[in-house]
Amino acid sequence: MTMNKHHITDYKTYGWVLAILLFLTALTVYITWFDLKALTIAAALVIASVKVTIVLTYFMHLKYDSLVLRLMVAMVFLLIALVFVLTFFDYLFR
Amino acid sequence: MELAQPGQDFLSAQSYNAVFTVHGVIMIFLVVIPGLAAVFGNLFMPIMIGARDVSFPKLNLFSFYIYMFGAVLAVISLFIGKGAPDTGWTFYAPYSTQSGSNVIAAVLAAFVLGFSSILTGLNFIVTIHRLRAPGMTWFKMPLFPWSLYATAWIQLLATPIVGITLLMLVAERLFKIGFFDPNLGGDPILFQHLFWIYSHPAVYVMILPAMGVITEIIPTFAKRKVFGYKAIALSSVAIAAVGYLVWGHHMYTAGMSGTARWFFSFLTFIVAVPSAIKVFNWISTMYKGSISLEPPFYFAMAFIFNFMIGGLTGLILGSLATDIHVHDTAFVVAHFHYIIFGGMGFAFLAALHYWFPKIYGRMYNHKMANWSCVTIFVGFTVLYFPQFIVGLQGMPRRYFDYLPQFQTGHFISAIGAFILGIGFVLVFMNLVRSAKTGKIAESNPWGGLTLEWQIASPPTVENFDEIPVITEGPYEYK
Repeated sequence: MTMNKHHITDYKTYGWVLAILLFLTALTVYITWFDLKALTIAAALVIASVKVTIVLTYFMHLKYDSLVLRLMVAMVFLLIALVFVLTFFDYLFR
Repeated sequence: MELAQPGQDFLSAQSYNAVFTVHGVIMIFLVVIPGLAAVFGNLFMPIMIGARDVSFPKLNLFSFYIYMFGAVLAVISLFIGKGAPDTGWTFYAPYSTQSGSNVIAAVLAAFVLGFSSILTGLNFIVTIHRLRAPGMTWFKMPLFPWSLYATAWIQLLATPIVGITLLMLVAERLFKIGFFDPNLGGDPILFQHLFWIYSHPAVYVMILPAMGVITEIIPTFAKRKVFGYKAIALSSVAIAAVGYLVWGHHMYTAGMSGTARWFFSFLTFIVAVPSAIKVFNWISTMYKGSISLEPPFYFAMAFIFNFMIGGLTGLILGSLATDIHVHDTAFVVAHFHYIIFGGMGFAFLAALHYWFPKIYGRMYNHKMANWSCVTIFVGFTVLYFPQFIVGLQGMPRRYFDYLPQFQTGHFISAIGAFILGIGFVLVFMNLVRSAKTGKIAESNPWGGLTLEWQIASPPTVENFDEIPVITEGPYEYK
């Protein structure tokens, strides 16, 4: 990865990202009106994960970073997902 | 000493609770977590990968200041407020949300110390990625930096979880927000989940660098190429990864679901595999080696012996059925100390004796070092092995008093504690005296091949006049 790489993302892309983030925030609030039972937290986490992915990809320029960095972030996501899954092996089956 | 015989001797019950809590907080957060990784990692990791320093030296210094601030806060917590914390180093809720002792200061000390750990982890990851000498590919890197790399990821990813958990505890104490107390609508098992999601990987923060040290010492003194280099390197990463997912084995009797229990038990047995790979590879490295029996090697052998006992008794605790019998007994105390003291403690002493001539440019008295190793090993065994037995007999841990049938074991343990103390006095005397007046050591007294042995003792500022170019693996003994 060279140090002089600059990526200028156009306003249109940022606009779309903002719109999607706002929509997903509204969706997070909206789904609290429904009783999704065991899936309540899973639904909130899935939406939050999508939002985080978009922020990392566009706002934090992960899209333009090296494969190693992208893999690192993916591994961390996987790890956190596994921690959640294991915790819910307790809460869902208690 | 308090437990040498039944009844009250030196401490009140409350003081006893405070003493084991403070012992745990100081030893875990101030000694064993930063011990090997921060001390020997900072000293030797940059040299071993052929770098002049870590990637962010100022961040490193900042991390040290944070550590000192946390340490002062931890010590202050003993003396201010309504008495030293009495919850045990695990700060289990809901008791820790209600105890009248000085829990908040101790918890904040652990919180602050966590930041130091995170910054060091970040620094090490970046350094190992970016500053390896030309030609040092991942599989030409020595195995101590490999173990530090795996450790650094745990420090970076797990520590924030205990940070937020401890803040939640403080919030519950101060503002009555119901995270953990059932009376406030909370769940005490949630505290245990969050606490152990960090604190079990933290055990690997303690033991992985220890394994790295042993992997350096054995080939140097056996004059043999490490057997299964890649397996040892990758097993560090495997331990870090799987070790992250086994925290539930601390909670089998806490009321967790049956599904979670068997899953955590299964994963616990899986994590034993990479640990065993290391032990087999160390022994295979020594096979047909030209072994020179020097003090660091003796400490390393004591490590392997203790670590195997600690590891195998861990399987008894990791198994659902047997854990019910020995959970929260002195058996757990013995297992834990066999891993942390018998493992990390002996590895720390091994590292100290291995790298001492490089750090100070002077050599210590070998005969005295050998005797101190024997004394510490005997003291350690006499102290902790009886705890396995009284634990199996049913002696609960953290109890201030006990029934007469447990006295023999406790009395033997008390004798072991004295022998252990004498051993440490010997180490201290030998090393402190030698640092000042010991014989001037050669730059490579053990005949090691890794980069730290190729430079002057003590290392010069910025380590290398010229960054070396690496053409072969680190353990190519001919």
